[in-house]
Amino acid sequence: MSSNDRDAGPSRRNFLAPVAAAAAVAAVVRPTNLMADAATIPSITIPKAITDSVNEPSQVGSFEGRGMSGAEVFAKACKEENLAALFCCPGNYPVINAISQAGIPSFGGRSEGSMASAADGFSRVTGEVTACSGTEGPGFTNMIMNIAVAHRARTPLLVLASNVTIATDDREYFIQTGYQQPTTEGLKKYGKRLIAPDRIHEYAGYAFRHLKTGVPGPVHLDFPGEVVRARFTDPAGLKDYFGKEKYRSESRPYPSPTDMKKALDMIDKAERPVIVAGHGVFHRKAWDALRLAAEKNEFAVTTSGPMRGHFPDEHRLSASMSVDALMSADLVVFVGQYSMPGRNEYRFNPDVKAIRVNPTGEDLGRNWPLDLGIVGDEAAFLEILANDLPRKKRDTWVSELAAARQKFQDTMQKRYELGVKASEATNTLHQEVLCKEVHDFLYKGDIDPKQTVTGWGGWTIGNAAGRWLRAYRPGQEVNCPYQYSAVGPDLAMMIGASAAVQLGVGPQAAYKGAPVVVVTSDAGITYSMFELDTAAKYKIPVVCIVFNNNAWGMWPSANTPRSMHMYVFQENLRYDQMAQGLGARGEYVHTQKDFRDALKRSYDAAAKDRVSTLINVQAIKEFTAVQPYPPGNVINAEPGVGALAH
Amino acid sequence: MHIEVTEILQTYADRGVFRGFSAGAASASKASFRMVWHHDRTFEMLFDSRRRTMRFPVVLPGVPAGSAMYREFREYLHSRQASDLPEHRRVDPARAVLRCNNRDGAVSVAITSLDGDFEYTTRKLIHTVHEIFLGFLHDGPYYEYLVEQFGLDPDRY
Repeated sequence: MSSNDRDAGPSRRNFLAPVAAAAAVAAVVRPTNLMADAATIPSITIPKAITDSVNEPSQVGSFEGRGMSGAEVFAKACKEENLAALFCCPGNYPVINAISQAGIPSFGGRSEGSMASAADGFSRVTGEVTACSGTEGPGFTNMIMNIAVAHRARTPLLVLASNVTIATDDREYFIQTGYQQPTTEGLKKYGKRLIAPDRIHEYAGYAFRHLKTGVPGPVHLDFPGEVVRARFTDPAGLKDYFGKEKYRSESRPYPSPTDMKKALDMIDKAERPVIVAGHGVFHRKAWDALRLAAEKNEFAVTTSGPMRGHFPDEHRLSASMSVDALMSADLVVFVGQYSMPGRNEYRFNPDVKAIRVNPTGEDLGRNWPLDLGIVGDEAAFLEILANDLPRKKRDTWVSELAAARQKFQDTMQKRYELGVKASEATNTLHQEVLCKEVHDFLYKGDIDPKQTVTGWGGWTIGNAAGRWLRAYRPGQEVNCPYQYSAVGPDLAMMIGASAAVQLGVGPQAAYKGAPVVVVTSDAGITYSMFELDTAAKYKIPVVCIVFNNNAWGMWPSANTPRSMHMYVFQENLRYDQMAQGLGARGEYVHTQKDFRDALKRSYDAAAKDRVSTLINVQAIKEFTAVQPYPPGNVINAEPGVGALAH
Repeated sequence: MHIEVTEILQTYADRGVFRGFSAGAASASKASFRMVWHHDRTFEMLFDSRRRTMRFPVVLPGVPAGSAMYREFREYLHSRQASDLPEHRRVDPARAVLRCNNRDGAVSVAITSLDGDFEYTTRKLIHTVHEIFLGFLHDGPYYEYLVEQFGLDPDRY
């Protein structure tokens, strides 16, 4: 192990030790139900080329000897900034090779878009900066939807792509040429085509300054060949070649004492205050301060954002399931809510007063008129609350929260019972039944309820899963469709999340190595199912539950006689068999009992053997409609569990 | 009294609850208001001070009078005055009366003040209609109704 590896905490090399061990005994994944004679068809194997190369010692470039290429200069800056991981497909070769060589955990997958979402998922459960990369032209444009998803989630995602050469700009020379920066306009926080080789370190500084300061968001750099292949044997060849402590600052905006005095007064005078803790609370790791302040002053807390768990769902002050009580709040305090809803999108009454705390000022007052806007760091704001709010009991408010939570749970139970009837009537599995089984398995059985990171997506199934999945600690739940509502990135995102759990990064450290569960749809799985190969080759365990209702969940929108064919698929497709063909386990179920057993088997395989499973849960599209199988698709209230718009 | 009601409604516009608001023609005892509100629809509100009544003539369109949905809606509206609701949530039956009516499927909601406190009745009526959209329609089996009557788009709900 190199000194670089030792300095970097969990290394890719350590993480992949099980892969090496598997290769040593010629690891073989034997899919079942192969259609042809097993004797004539070789088994799926993890080749030595994978295990050998990931175990090569890492090495950061230096000016000695041949010096560094531009790509190596950039990789060195990424290493010094503790870039948490890279997810890529081949292309942009000098850059991805240099980043991997520098010892940054790197993963090669099957499509650039899915790799961008894997990086997004890794970041959503850790808060760390991650990178994705693709080749110029098709590789880059394949990432567009996924960059947009990350942009709406304010993910600190470093998007890298090669882009031919400066010498051939505008000449339609050979292939893959295209302007990248205009393509990501509106989808990024910052972007730049690098054209001066001697400024590559300087622009790495630009990138990380944006990624690690203020409200996060994707940064997109595109690299012409002249920049990444330039060589540097002397620091003097690079402009502004100094360290991160010089080119950016860790300083945070401290809320003004005048604003804080007003905020403390408003919270103290309120009878039923609620804090909406957005993803800024997670990014600033301010969950302890939030909890301290809430318990001291007994205000309610609900969470929002692309990840959940920065306030535990089971806490007596959590309003995440107390949907009905939100309408009673007389003060709402938005902290780190980067994507603001409109005034009537959140379930608050028309007279509720509003405070919003944001690290930058330009967004204060957008969408939601404020009684008090505060420019300030989320952690600093919450620490002041924890210190300066008076200790207070709000028994009536706490009782109202509890009553609303009970009402929510009663409603869930009724929907489940309707789902059981629908399941029994059709010999398939209703979404409410599926999700309650996952809930009971993860949170009511032998598994530590805090252990498993989950994610969810899809329409009919996504709404149900959002209501049933829980977050009891930071980074435990990923809201895959958050804000952008993309159908499809779910599995890829959760493979990235699982990579973070396997490495034990940030809030995942205590649950290092645990399996990850994703609940998604048959419509969604097609976008990233091939990444089961990526999960298998790196031994990243994911239990992927596919609600197979033979249709896009929006099929009720087929409201002309000639439209339905565009909304439905062939029935009874076997995603489990496709998964087996990619080296994962496959399970097919259509009853509650079978699903319960399959889930346990799959989780055990993930935990013990680091093998992923796709569970194909057969359903029917009619479960989306209220009739004949109530409750149908239910849209979740916002904010709270299952909220996906904001 | 018109001015008092207008000012209260204007505060909701200032708070972003209404995205558009105007006061229409007024006489000695009557006034009308228009506001852009849920689902970006324009709502009309009528105020009759002599009858101490405020009314939204159309809150829910396309609800047949004999339908289960209308029956459930009436029950819901009745529950807004129930004693088990916290004081800050309920319409106190000693101070105001909530009613609904169905004319050719158009459901109206009205509130009549019993004590002449028009600030109270204005706020309670606005809260009630707000909760009809964020509570009653959202929590009940009305997804398809919202698609049909309010153009709810699953891609941009």
